[in-house]
Amino acid sequence: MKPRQISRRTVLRGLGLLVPLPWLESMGNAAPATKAKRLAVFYVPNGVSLPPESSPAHKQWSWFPLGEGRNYEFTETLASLQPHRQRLTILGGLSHPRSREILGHAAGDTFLTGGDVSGEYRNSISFDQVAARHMGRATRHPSLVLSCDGGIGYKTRVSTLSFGPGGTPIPSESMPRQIFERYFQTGGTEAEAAARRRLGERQKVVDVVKGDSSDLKRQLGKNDKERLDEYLGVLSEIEDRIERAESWIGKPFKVGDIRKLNLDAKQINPEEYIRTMCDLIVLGFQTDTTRLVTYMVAREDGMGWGDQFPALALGIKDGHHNLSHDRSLGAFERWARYDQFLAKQFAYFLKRMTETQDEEGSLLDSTLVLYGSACSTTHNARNYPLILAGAERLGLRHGRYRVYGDGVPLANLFVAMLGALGVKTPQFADSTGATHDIFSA
Amino acid sequence: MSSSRTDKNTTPVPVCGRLHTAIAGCLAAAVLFLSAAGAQAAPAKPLAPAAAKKILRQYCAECHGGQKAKGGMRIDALDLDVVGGRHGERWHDVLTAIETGDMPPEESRQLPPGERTALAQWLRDGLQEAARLAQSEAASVLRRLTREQYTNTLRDLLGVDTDYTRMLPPESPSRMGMQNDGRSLASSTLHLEQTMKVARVAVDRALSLGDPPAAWRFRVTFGPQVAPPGKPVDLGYQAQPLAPEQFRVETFAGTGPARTPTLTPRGELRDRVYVDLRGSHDYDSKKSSRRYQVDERGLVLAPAKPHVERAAQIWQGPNPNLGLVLRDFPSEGSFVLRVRVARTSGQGDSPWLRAFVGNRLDDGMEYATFDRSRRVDAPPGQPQTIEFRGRLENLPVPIVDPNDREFLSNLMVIGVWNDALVTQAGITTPALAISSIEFEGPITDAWPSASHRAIFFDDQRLAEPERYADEILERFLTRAFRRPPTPAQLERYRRFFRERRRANHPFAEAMRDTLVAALSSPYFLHHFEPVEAAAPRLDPYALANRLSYFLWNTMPDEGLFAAAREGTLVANLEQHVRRMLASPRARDSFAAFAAQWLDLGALDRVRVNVKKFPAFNRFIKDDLRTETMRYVEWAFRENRPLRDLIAGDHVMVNQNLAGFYGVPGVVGPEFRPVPWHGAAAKGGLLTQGSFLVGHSTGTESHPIKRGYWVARKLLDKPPPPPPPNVPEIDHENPAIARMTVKEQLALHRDRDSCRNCHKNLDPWGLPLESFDAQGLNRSTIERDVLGEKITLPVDATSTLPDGTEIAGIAGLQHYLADTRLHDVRRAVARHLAAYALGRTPGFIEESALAEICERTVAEGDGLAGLVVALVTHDIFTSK
Repeated sequence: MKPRQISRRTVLRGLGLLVPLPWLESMGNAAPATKAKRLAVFYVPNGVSLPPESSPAHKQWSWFPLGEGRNYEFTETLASLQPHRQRLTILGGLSHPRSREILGHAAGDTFLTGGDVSGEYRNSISFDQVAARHMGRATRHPSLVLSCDGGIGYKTRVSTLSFGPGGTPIPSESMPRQIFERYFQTGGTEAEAAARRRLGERQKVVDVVKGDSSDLKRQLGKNDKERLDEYLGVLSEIEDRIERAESWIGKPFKVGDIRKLNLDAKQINPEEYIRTMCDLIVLGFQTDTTRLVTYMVAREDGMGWGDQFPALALGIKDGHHNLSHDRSLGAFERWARYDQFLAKQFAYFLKRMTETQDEEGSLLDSTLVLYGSACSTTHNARNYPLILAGAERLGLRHGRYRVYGDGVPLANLFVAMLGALGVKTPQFADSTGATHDIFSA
Repeated sequence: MSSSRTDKNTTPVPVCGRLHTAIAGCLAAAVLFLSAAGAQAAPAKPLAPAAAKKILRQYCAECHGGQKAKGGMRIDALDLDVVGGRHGERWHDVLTAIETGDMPPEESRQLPPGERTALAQWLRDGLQEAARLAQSEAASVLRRLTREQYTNTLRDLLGVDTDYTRMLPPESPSRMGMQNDGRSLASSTLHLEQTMKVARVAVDRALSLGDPPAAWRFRVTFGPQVAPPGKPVDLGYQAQPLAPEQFRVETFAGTGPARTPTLTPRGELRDRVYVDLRGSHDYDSKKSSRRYQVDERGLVLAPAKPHVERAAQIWQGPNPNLGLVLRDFPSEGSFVLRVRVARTSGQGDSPWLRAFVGNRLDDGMEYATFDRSRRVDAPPGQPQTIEFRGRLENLPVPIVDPNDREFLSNLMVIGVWNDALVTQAGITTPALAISSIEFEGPITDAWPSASHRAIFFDDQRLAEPERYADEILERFLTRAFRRPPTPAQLERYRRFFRERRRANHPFAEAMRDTLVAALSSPYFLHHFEPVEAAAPRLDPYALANRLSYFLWNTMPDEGLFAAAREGTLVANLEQHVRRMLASPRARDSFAAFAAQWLDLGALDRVRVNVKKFPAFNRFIKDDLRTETMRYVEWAFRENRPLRDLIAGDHVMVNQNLAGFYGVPGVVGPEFRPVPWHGAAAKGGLLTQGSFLVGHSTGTESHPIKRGYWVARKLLDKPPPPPPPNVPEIDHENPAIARMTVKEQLALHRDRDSCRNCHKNLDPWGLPLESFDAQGLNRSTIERDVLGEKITLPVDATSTLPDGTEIAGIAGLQHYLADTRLHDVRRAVARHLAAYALGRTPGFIEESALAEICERTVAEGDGLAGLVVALVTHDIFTSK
């Protein structure tokens, strides 16, 4: 791998704000932040290699570990996660009931939503965006939505993990330099002035509406006044949002470490690219620019750059989608070697999250990290391969391979994760409860 | 075990379980009825609260006290001040239970007659006094527009028919199912932020600021050799692309600017437009049996087979369907699709043509139809042109991701199918020959558009910009707020406008921003209902507003505004009602009322087991919903007798639904009332699939759900909520799995904890056992028990709560329409009042409902008569 570099230009433009010093040394000038709770989601497409038990490759190359509970054993696929074993839980048996019957690739659309695309296409809000509605205002950006290919893709083959209210896809970002410039730099005086102007105009509308509201209030009886107060409450919350948005304009960034950033990383070098995306996520958390990140490492069904990753990274001849269909001799191993490659990148992310500190300790300790796919293996949208890591400070207890039965919808995990993030919701999508067993809190 | 899997995914059959969570609180019999009963009782010495408390503790508290609050009722927690306390509704429940003898239950210690009378009298006196005092409180609360009202209002205010409902969060229904109830309509930041966004977009769409948009214009002509030959383009999984020589793509001239299509490096337009007949195959047959062909007549489409319902698969459209697949397309604005089409034979029933827009998914197509289906009369060889019009933003065009360069990404599909759907024998519709299809959009009627000129009504007036602005504002605000703005309000918007002008915005832009601001005002977003100075009577504008949203679900028209302005509305209410019922706008509102009253959403919550019911094709569900909406609308509009809701002699069907129901001789896709005197019971709401399917599991009938619906919707007697920890019936137990539903129900009615409620619930559902889960008649029950097929007899006999023995649907219809019609009338009146007033009528309004029912009967017991009786009653004309 090439040594990582930052271009001189980046340093000049970014450094005024991002002094490459470890957090502790610059603690003196940092404002005390509220205790941050964070979420990072990684998605890998097309399922994983799961040679059946009858296959000689099973013991070596099954994605899921051997055994269950605390005494499970990693196969070679996830072996790189061994150092993090006590900071993660392998989850088996979970899936979205409403996506179980559909062709697996389309299940990717519902990975974080649990939406119903099985008849008419009805996707719904993703749980990270539910969290963003609650937590988003604490940071400069409510969430950061990343992918390998950018944009939204198209329905059933999306290129984003995040969906807003009503299931509207949220465009993802894929170019490290663009991400850095858009999310980690203030916009320059002209852009700032435009943003100020926009917000000022919104505030003027609110002012007129407030005027109408107080007129109306004078004309109303007691019961009606109470109803109007609800509307006024909403109005002042919107005002509050405008003020907060204004307060971020021109505000200097918190200190973060950008020495390792390689903003010129491209998908043609998958390892360098994925690690750079991981570095950007770490930077986002370290600078408290956002607390919610989703990252679609590649797109389903051989779409986009991700299909070439096995070839580009490992010299495997086939595209990822074809690999997932290949039943020839040695195919399980070929496929699993790519699973192994992805796991190594994930291990890199966990390592960086462990090493990087915030006021409370390692970033990982306060970050819920979910890694997985919406298919266990070829087109089978059941028993998703999932890893839940980090967030011990939010009450998670790790170290096991936990297998759930068919009756537990994946949405139950999301309800529990939302709870750990401080978003108390009794229900999400088709949840029937919450998987509290890995959440002590 | 395919059927049981479907159950798990949709609605389980536990006897109580999920159903119970849906059961809301209860509010039962009428004060009128109670007063009459009271009049017969001997006058008793008034009871002191302490004495009442003692009786209640003695006979009720065992089940309704402390931690044990059966049916959600804790009598020891109720405020003993019946008149002034806050538990009037709850005390009314208590009174009802005592009066009807429901409580105490049979197995408990009974109230001695003297104490029963005294307690009832004490409650009745207190409640009547409370009702008198509370009359002024029984007012509608300030409520915002529902999302349907909001989008309809924007349409009529701005003159652009864009559907914005999808941009707003859905409403949460009241206990009665109404989505316009002021107490359940919440405001949220999401809601207000979205309305602010919509306001901007909507006003921009109405105005013609800037240059007219450039239109996409192209024509596709079909024939065997109309273009150079080549290899069909690969459009992916299951595609059926036409060969390049079978279609020719060219642009054509129109009025207004044209958009130059982005051509491929080869410079060919046809590389931006493909033709695909994906979905045009039989899923269940291996052999290829194409229902389309290209020949000298053009592209020939046989009558389509409805899209076969396949569990958990994405839509492919009916077979065959013709789709133009577009690489470049506009994403919003009006457009027109012109189809040159002729019949292939002069014989047989008329073919129909249906247009749709969608986007390509990998496993199918997401699509929606637009405009009406059209009958094709053109004889062979002499094609006619049919124009279909729509607005792209209302249709599922792809959200373009310019970043996604996959070949199969960002493809829009627009096309047609032969809408004489083939579901029954004896339909002799010929195929249709499509010779060409033209697409043109976005189009505008003129520039500036009519909607622009409705706001900027006279450009000559720009010479006096200040006065012109004032007039524009006054006109607009009067319509937006549904009443003239006050001088202070007008001044506020005037100031806003002038500030924009001072900030160097041109006149039109400054006005645009001002109008956008007005659309976030609480006067626009809420129903403001001030009363006249002296009385609780609504002021004329508030009355016009209430009437308009009741009957049209949108803002008043010029006729209503004029009547409000001139003060003639109250005097002519009945005429206005008749006029409004006759207007096409009434359709929307009665559809919404039917959907909310009858809980048509239940249909969406059930996934029908298509392995068991292969005839339940993908259009049936939509048709069932339409059937009920149109039936209710027709019954109200045509002043059909009230009993038609229970036992009518008409069915509301189109060809597809008629084929499914077995109603002969109905041709064409349009719904119409058809007289029905067939052997199997049909007619009235009880035999409609929207109810029977919606309250089944998708595989099996569900008498409890159906019974609950009858009790709640048709009799307005919902049972109380269930106790916690209701045991479920063990369907894995083979002995239970082999029982008829009636036998299964008998199991839980043997349990004390269930019996008291279910005796008022199950008997209403059991007579409907002769209808299966797809809503069709059956003579036996087929069930899959642990892989074994068993057949059980249908038992549709039932003992109703009052002891009447009835059998089957006919028995139930007869009983409801003859013995209980007054209860049905009251239930309909109460739901209609809730919808009209935007609130849940309380017990203190029982006498008003009784008066409305009386007047309805006096006027012939028709449903339009019920509307008139309601609208002219104080309950409607006062706050």
